[in-house]
Amino acid sequence: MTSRETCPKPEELTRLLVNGADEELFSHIEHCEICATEASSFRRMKELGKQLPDGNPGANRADAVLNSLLTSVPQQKRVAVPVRHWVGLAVAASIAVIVGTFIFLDGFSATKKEQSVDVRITRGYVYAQHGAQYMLVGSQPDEIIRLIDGTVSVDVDKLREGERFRVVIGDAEVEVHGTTFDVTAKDDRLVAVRVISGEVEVRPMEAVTATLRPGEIWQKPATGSTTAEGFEQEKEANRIPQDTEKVFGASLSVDKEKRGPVSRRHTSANVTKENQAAPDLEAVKTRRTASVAEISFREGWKALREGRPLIAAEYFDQSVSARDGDPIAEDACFWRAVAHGRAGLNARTAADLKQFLQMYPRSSRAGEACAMLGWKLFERGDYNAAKRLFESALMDTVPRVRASAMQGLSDLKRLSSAP
Amino acid sequence: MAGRVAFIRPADGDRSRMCDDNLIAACGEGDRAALGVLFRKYHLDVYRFIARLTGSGNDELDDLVQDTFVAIQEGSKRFAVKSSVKSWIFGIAVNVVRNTIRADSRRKKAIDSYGQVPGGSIDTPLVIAEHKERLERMQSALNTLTHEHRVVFVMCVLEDIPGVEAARILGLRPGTLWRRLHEARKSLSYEMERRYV
Repeated sequence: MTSRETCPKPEELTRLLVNGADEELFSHIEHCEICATEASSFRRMKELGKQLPDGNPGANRADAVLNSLLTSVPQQKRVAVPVRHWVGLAVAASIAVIVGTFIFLDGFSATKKEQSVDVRITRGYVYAQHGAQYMLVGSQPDEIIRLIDGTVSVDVDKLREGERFRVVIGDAEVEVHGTTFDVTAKDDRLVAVRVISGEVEVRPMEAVTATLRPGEIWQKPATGSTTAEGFEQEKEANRIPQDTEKVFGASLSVDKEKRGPVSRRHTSANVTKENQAAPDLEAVKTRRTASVAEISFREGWKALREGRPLIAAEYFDQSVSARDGDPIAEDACFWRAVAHGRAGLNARTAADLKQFLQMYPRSSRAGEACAMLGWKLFERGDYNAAKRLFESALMDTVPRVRASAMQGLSDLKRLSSAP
Repeated sequence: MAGRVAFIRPADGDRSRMCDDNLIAACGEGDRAALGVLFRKYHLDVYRFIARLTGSGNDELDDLVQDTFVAIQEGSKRFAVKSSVKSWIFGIAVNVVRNTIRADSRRKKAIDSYGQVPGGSIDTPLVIAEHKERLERMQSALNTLTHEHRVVFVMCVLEDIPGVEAARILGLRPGTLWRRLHEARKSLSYEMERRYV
């Protein structure tokens, strides 16, 4: 049948092709040469269009845009206020910030205890002060809390090998390895970190990285004191005595069963009073120095965030080479592959991923690496190897890794059944 | 039911557990955490949509996506539950892209830079090369469409937004949308054939 008399009008045909035709029209399109040609051309076009670059920015670029976005939009809707009131408001705001910091340093008062609420994370709890703005963004093995404003207290169990837990603010990140600590941010800027137990690494963008031990407090350095000396001076000024850990430890061991924030915070309020009395300088001196692998890793991350994947890959490479048993080399090995992938070096990416899987077969990122390598081999046409890798990745604990592996297996199946 | 949604703030401050309507309402109150959650939820859709709409490179794409989310925050007070949140966001992206095109003729640059489309196919080098060529042809044909034609094609065909919803978001009558879509399809077919010869 080629008659145009029964064919739908062109706009109508387009509508039917987009929305889907009913059975009668579908039958017509199948048998009408003119409409079948139109339909076939439309389907080809749609299929090709869907394969156009999707602009996927990758996690790091997206994070950079998100950070830029969060700092570019105002926190509250501005209300027009006469100019002369601004001076008073500025003074009031300054007082509020100072008072807020003191409240943070003094622990939580009884009224705040009532306002705080628990949130379960995979390896611990987050206690947000009322009004704190944050979101849980990462998933295991790399859990991230994106804090924008206010104070959160975090209690993280000892992490397993390959697991990470971070609190990220616009200008800094705080990484922990099984600890209890408080973080305060104001306007997407890190204000203070207090460690109650365990060890925390504070990585501000505009100041030196610091490793805090129990009882230590990090506060945003005053303008100009971003040097190591400046930081040490500030840190010493804010020291909490080492023996406070015992008090926290006792309290936490009691609380561990119920994980209630109330008694823990009550304890922290008591301890802070002792803080101001006897600073322990010994702990400051024993601050851990960063290893070569760690420094290279940090530089690699910085380069990756700045959109310089080749330089990032070189830094990660240095971090892998200088490993000396440093656990960060495992992460560096993985991120080197990601950096090469971002630079468009597919063969190198595949080689990196293979090396990663050989060196760290039990890594928590092994599933992700399997899926990534699976796709690289899929693109090369090595379908059998790709299938094995996708199958391995199916066992991963991260949903998006499993989804990627399932998609890979489904595409392989579709390919094998194609004529 | 159409109308604005009351913002129900979660007790614990964790915006990632809020529904979309509440997130948008929270954005309207200047809640940046809510905007952050919306970004994480929809940024890949927005990147894809704008990439297909403009053919822009990474830096331009980042700028346009950020501008879109800034506009989302600014426009969140006006959000009404008439369409899906994703469609509403796409509608905002269309306006951001249109304004940007007017402002700095970004699209012309995008047209000039076509041909840098990476291939997404698998198979022998010859098949890969052919597929890449077809994609380049498609990208360049898409770049020749007017903004209006391109918007309806990307929205309805590539993003599968229902025609009625797309028409509402774009402020068009359904008939106008289908006419534009038909014209876009014809132009694309013509360009694809012309470039093939």
